[in-house]
Amino acid sequence: MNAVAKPLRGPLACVAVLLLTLSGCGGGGASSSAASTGTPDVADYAGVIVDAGPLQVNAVNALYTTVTLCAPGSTTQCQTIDHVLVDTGSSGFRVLASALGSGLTSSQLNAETDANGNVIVECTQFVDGYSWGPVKTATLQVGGETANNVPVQVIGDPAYPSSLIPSACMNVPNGEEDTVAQFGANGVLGIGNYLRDCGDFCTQSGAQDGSDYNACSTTVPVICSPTTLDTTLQVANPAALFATDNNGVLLQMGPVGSTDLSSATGLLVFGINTQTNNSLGTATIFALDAGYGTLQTSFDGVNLTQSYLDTGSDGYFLPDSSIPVCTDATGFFCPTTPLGLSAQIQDTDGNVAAVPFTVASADSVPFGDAVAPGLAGPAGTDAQQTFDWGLPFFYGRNVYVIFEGSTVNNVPGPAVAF
Amino acid sequence: MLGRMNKVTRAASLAAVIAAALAGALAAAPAQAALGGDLASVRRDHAAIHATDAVTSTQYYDVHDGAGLAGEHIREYIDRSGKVFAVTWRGPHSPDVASLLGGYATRYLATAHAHHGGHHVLVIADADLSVSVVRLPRGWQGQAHLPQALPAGVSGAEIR
Repeated sequence: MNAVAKPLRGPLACVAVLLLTLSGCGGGGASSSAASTGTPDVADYAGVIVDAGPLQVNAVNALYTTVTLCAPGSTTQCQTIDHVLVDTGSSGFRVLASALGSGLTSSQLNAETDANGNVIVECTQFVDGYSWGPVKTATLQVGGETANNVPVQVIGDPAYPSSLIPSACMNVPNGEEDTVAQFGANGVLGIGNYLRDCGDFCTQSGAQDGSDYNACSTTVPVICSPTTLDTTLQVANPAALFATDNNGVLLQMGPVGSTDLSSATGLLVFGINTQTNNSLGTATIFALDAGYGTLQTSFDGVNLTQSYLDTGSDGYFLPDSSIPVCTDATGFFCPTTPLGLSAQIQDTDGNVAAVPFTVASADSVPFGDAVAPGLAGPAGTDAQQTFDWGLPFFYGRNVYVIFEGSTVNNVPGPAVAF
Repeated sequence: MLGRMNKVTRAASLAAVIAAALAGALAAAPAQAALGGDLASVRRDHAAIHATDAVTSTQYYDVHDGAGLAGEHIREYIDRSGKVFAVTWRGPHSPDVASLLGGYATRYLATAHAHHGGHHVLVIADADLSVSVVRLPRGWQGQAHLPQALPAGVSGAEIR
């Protein structure tokens, strides 16, 4: 059906906002700020949920929202896509071709091309595999916000089969993630600090090997060659392309307590200090390293300089060789009793915050519970300098992501606040 | 037991154990390998990324630092018997991790294919194999080492 998604409104949204006491609820769910310009307020938020994900994924600590994709300029060629991962650790919107369908197909979207008419097809690498698919231009709606002419990636598009994937893309042999089951979601909404998914690196000729952007010929035999791509054509952070409320995002997750739950909800609010429901309030801003998008975390007397806040990670990942690792659940901790720990998040401007957190046994998470606030695992050695603050960090917090190129309270992005 | 990881993980774990046993039996002279391999394998890995090579020697091991054209770094730690006991990497792309892990690649692949750590962090923390791969908001970093093959007097914290 050609339904256009309605943003989350009404009682549920109001309860979620009231829990975090940022603002009252205006009538009808739309923001009720006294806009001095007189322009109508946009419903600048969308509901988010932590649940098991699409069928057969059985996700834990995965944050999802619903996105509506339309052919540019169309209000009828549209597809509403549920269970799109909300990811503060990446930038850009990607959708599985199989999640499109009767409302909109990939072939109804124009592909980006280079100056010679070759189609831009992207390789996206993850630690557990890679995805492949063309860059298309679309209109994207999340909540009440709309972005036009957004470069997005359509993963697993049958018009660009796996046989075209360059060897440099395949960082994990047989690790293709071009179906919903392999990918773990119907898509991903990357609303991290960067405006584009690759940035300057993908504009450097001589450095491209096929593991980012490629130009594929349109005549048979189809050949794909690595290519540079101007940042204006790269897959874009859609939240930075909204007409307003485009300087960052605020993620409000309701408190979940310390026990595992079947699901949890929250709000993804667009913009910071742009409407009455997204003010920074008393949150502390932490500047990030502009090159890697990282901040620092001091834990057990070691300063871990490659740390970051990431809704796209399903637990806390930290270097601690004293916590027993699970024998079944590879890559997670299994202490015999929950551990109350603390670390200090800090930046190079002298901002610090002590952050207590709990590490509980991965084996104790009941099957079917998607919310595991104590889920954690090892992140290599101290030398790797990484403390990955995954989704559990966000439970019960207001966390702000300030985009590069924007400034909030005189602090330029990339930055985060909580 | 985490939902996403029940049957798939158990099957993958069993396969990984079998594969590791086989790999161990065959790994006396791994080809195309870095971890567990020799100096020749290090030179092959660096040639693959057209890297310059810098060697630093300590009392217990040599560190070969290959810096590639795209700004990536691959470092291999070689003990006095000529065996690579640790590999680290950092850069804008993911390297061919399976190639760097040599005979230990099958265990990495089994973990990756199980998809239970998400897209950004992959860790193996076994007594005989430590692997961690992290996808940062921009860039990649990773390490792999053999905890039981660390030279006497060397701690894992030195591997960076």
